[in-house]
Amino acid sequence: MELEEDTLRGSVPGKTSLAYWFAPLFLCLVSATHLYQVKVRGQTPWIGGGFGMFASLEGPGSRLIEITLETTIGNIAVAPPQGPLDGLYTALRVLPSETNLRRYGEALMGLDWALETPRPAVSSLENLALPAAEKTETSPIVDPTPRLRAGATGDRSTGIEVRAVTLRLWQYRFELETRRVRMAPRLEVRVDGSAP
Amino acid sequence: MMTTASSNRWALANVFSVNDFDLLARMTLLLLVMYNDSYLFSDSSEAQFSLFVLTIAVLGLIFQGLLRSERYWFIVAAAQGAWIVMQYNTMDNHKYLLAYWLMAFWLAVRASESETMEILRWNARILLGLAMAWAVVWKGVLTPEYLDSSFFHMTILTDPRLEHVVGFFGAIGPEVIQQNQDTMAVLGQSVRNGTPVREVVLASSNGIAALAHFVTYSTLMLEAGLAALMFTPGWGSTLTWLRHSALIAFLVTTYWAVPVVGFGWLLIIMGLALCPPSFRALRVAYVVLFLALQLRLFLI
Repeated sequence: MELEEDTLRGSVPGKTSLAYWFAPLFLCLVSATHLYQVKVRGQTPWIGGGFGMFASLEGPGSRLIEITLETTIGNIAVAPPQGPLDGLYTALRVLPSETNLRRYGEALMGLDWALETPRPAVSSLENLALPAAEKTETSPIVDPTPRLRAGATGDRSTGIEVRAVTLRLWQYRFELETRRVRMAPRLEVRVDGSAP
Repeated sequence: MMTTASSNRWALANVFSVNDFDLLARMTLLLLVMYNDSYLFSDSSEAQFSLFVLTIAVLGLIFQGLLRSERYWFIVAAAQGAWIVMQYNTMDNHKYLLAYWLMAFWLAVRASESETMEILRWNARILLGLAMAWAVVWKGVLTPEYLDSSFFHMTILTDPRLEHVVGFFGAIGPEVIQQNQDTMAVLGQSVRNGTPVREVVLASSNGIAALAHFVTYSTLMLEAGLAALMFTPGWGSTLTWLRHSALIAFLVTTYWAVPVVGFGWLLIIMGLALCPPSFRALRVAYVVLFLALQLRLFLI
């Protein structure tokens, strides 16, 4: 079938006008920058304009953050609070730099923390096979570890004083032969509230 | 080049009584309205900015005169570009590709009318080729865990979005996938709670290993083939059929598995832009895919 050549001249090589090459050049420039960001600064290949999605296990979800607050009642691990720090948390998992980790730590220090009601613990590795809903309902052991949660800003009357926060960024690796997933430490930062 | 009014009209475009440029423009604006971001559920400044992009896209859909305005497309492209710059590290790849495509619209409208479609078609072909080529570089050169099939092996075992794919091939039972997801969730919880579990073993099977190998290399070959076909100049009948068959195969297999509708729609629009007027069956196929991808969200 012959095509309408005059309507499809976009195929003819030798286009010199910027209208033909501006967007493709832009794409190449951004993709090359993203490649540099991934290889030099540790950004995830998945997002950021480089088209590296569905190629690597190093997506933002493979990077987890362990947060330990140093408080007046001891060192307490807390889950990343949801809400106003979501943007920083995402940025940290996309580009896990020391700067981003420190920035997130400082933001955590700025929150007010309150004691949470004790909850049942995940007691053993056997529990790993249970559906998530059953883990907390069926486990007979109550976790004695004090838990903190981010409270409403400004309400310090019931809060816990946080002196410092230690952040550890973990990255999981998959071993194909054994089907084993291991968490490997990647970065650690301590933000001291008493430091000037 | 657009020559006569009749040569500009496509089979389905005739149904909708619009020419090819208007059809592509409207589909692109619809994509901006529906799949650019979840601006309605956030009050961040970035979200508010994307609301601005949404508003001007809606205006373009309502006022047809805007579709031929150079200023309008400049504003749309610049707004999308500025929104990306605001959060360039965390922005999905297809939003970048959409920005380049909007840039192409601006440059196309800015040129003489006879060159408008020519510029759009050229950009669609080269941008599609480049996106695929970069994806191939990442998979085939820069990421060893892709080539040894580790990536797809673990993804198949743990990604809930692929449950129906695994179920389709019968490589592993749904209860095993659920167990793997729970295992990964507990590993994550353990890190967050500071408890000492730092490794787990996922349940798998030989069938999964074979499936992961197949998906790994078929995806790589399809993307490489698509890039090569897009970079090959010419519009011969065989090349056109090969080009569009490969793109449609990619769309069907990829977005049946993982329905990223925004990305799928953008590739469909670019495929439609590349579709010669005489290939009516292909044009129908793209429009059907456009609708099917939306329906896919509700069906699986």
